[in-house]
Amino acid sequence: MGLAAISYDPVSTLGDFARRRGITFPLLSDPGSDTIKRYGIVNTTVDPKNELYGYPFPGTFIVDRRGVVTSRVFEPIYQERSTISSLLVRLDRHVDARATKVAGAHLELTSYATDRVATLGTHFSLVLDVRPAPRVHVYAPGASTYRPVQLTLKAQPGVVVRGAQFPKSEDYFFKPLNEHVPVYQRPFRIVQDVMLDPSREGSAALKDVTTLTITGTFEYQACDDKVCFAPQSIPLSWSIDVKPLDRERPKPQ
Amino acid sequence: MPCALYDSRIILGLCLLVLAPTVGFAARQQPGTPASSIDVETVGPKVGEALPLFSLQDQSSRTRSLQSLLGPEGAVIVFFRSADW
Repeated sequence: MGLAAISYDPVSTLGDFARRRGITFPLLSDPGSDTIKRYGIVNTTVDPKNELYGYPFPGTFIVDRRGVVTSRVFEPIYQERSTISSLLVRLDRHVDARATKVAGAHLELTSYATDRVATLGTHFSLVLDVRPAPRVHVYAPGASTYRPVQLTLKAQPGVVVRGAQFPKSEDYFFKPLNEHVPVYQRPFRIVQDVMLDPSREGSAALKDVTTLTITGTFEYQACDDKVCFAPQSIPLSWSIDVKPLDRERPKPQ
Repeated sequence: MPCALYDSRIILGLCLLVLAPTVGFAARQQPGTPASSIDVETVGPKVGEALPLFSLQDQSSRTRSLQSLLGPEGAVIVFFRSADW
């Protein structure tokens, strides 16, 4: 898969930045923002008279081998950015992360954070890959008479937790009770977006933090076609290193 | 490696790149239309559309076209604010 990142910086600035950060993939220079304008993604929150005008809304296109967009993510606020690995897990792509396997009652759980390092404004993901045991189902969000799967993270300053992404559920018909309920019977993935808060308050909370530990629980209720088992709760934790923002400027030419 | 990723063909750089747009963040809040009033889903090429072609110089002054970046599995094209500020 190819990779490139485009900005309106001159080649010299990109060269300096790439050297400082050890970046070897192409950083492409679009001075005058011609490509950014042709793409229709100039950041229109900036006054055209402003000297900085011409930079794009931050965003990522994932394209196929013909260059056709298969997925895209754009952010309205440049301080916030999703990591590529967090975008890929939402597309069910493989991410080579350090995972923890837990054998729960009636299912197997594999859990990982998409990234080992984050900084203020980084959106990364916590991933739960859940494999129900044979002939077992667990209840999906929307099930009202059973306990649906739920990931709950312990709140902590500087960490913003947004809505989790659940896959589409299946309809399960339980004939003895003549009821339809949303379930997962096959392996499924829950993706939880987490951001290090770039606001003043978030920055203060994370000022001296070098490693962040996020804890939470995964709750579920499993049933087979005869028996419903007691609801379960699995404790989980993830560690991620926190890096300060890069405030270094390019060296004068 | 600061970011453990998946595919060695993508790897490292993107993790670092997410740092780039944050340079000088506190000092450079821009005046203008509130960002929240812009629906960024409406800007740029949509899913199913082909990206416009480009030919741009990279950090080593080597010319790269969109076509040259496409691999068998396609490509990831990132637009970021600036590596300068």
